[in-house]
Amino acid sequence: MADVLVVDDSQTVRNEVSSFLSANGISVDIAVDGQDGLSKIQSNSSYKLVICDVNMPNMDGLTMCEKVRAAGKTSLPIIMLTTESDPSMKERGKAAGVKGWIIKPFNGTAALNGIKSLLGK
Amino acid sequence: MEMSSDSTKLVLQNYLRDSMRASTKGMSPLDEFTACPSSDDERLFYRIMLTISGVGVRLAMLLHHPVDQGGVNLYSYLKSVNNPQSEDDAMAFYREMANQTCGEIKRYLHSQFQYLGMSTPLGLSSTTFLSDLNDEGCIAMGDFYLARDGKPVLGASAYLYSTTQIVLHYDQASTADIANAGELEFF
Repeated sequence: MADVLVVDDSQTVRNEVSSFLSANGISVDIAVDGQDGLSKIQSNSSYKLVICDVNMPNMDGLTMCEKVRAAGKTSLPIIMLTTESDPSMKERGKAAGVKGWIIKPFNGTAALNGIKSLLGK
Repeated sequence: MEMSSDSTKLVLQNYLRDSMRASTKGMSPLDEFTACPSSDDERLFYRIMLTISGVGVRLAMLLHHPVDQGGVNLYSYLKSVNNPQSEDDAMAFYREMANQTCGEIKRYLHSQFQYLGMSTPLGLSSTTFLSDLNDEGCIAMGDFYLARDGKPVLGASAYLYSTTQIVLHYDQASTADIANAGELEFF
């Protein structure tokens, strides 16, 4: 039963984020794209937070977020971890129900307090 | 291929330099070159391609790393890790580096073009040569290479395509590091 679902098509990012969170006592599950992430969110109610890339094959992160919200999971925090820094993209994220935004590269130390607060730790 | 002015080529080189500096930040140092320090035709490179597309403009970016340098060795050097890394990890690392480098270039273009979208990384055959990727619509190209002991170990090329006259702008302020990169910005 993992606390955090990391959704990214990059094996490097999945490894970096999950290694860092695991080292900080946070259990992690992974998904390789938005479609995989949506499937795991729908079948697993234990996730307390989703960390998701934007640009991915099969289904992008913002579309996944919209579908999660449309499926009734409105309180599950979803934050984006992405190279996208365009303000208009962030606005799309807000409209899709995204809770927060991290611009890559992932800096675990800088993001940890915010992640812990979303997990209630 | 009809090329535009040298100034556009220089802007592309500056974009590549600044974006590669950003994507290799914190890694082991490499020497910088604005052209491949050895003959491109004599070497085989793995290449990863991404494209940025907008209204009236398209940019293709390729990240190159030489086959003969050993992807795993370079990955271990850049990341300062001593334990052997797998070839899969190394290739995934280069794909993500290409993704972050192209993401930086897209950021530089935000103020100049609207509705930009970026592709996901695409791995190309090591026998794909740069000349295969040029076409009639390319108006400018730029290169930037990182080398170790005089041998290129990472390179990037940008190809700018447009059917209209466009001018790229460069100033250091627009490519400066994002102050809060890596931090969680709450909405």
